[in-house]
Amino acid sequence: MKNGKKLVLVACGTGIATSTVVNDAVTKLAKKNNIQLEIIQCKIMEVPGYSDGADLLVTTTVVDKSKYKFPVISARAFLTGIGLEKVENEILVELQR
Amino acid sequence: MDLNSLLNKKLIFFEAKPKNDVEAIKILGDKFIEEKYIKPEYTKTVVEREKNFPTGIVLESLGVAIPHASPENNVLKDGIAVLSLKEPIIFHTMEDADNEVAVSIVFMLALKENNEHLSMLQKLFKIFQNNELIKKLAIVSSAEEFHKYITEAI
Repeated sequence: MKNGKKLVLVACGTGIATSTVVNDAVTKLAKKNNIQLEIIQCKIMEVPGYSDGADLLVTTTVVDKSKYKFPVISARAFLTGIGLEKVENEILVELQR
Repeated sequence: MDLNSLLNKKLIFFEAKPKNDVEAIKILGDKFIEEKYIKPEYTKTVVEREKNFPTGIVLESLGVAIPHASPENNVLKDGIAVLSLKEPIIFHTMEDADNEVAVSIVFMLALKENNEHLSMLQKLFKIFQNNELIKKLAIVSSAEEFHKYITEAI
């Protein structure tokens, strides 16, 4: 948590292409559900540096989930549209926890 | 900046027969260089990044890949270069580097700055989510047609 808001990290390999799309999708999802949150968009390599207070990592890239203290959700569905509703629900569950 | 202005007909190719992902990236990199979109260093960083963070994506009916890297002053102009392949080549998937995907269309991205490409990227992924369109794109054989289908759809 940061300033009373959930802190969500959105990451991809370069922090430039797919994370931009996922950042927007998560922002809209939160807004639609009246959830206040703060998003940090970064490269996956930078995630450890932002780990303090992070509640969730949403990522499109290769990741070793056991490395992190917070839940990790694959954002592939935001790119392919396949299984989108399920992933949105998974994210909402974490944000409303 | 919209997708249409980024997708230059001169950068859509059908004839090349790369043997693997690295060759495909180098072919598109060379075309980008010819059209003055990137410096040669960009191709190297994309090849390197593809090894560590692959960009293959499994769609409903076929595989695509979106090789790209951080610009680091090597991107002169934003653009997308496309290589459509009659015989798919293997990329590794974005979410699991151990998994392979047979890729039919490679979209190499050259993007200058973070976060300025949202609407363009959203359109690109909308195209990926449009199974009918993707299937059509995989069988067209001219840049004109490819460009037309995309322009009509977005």
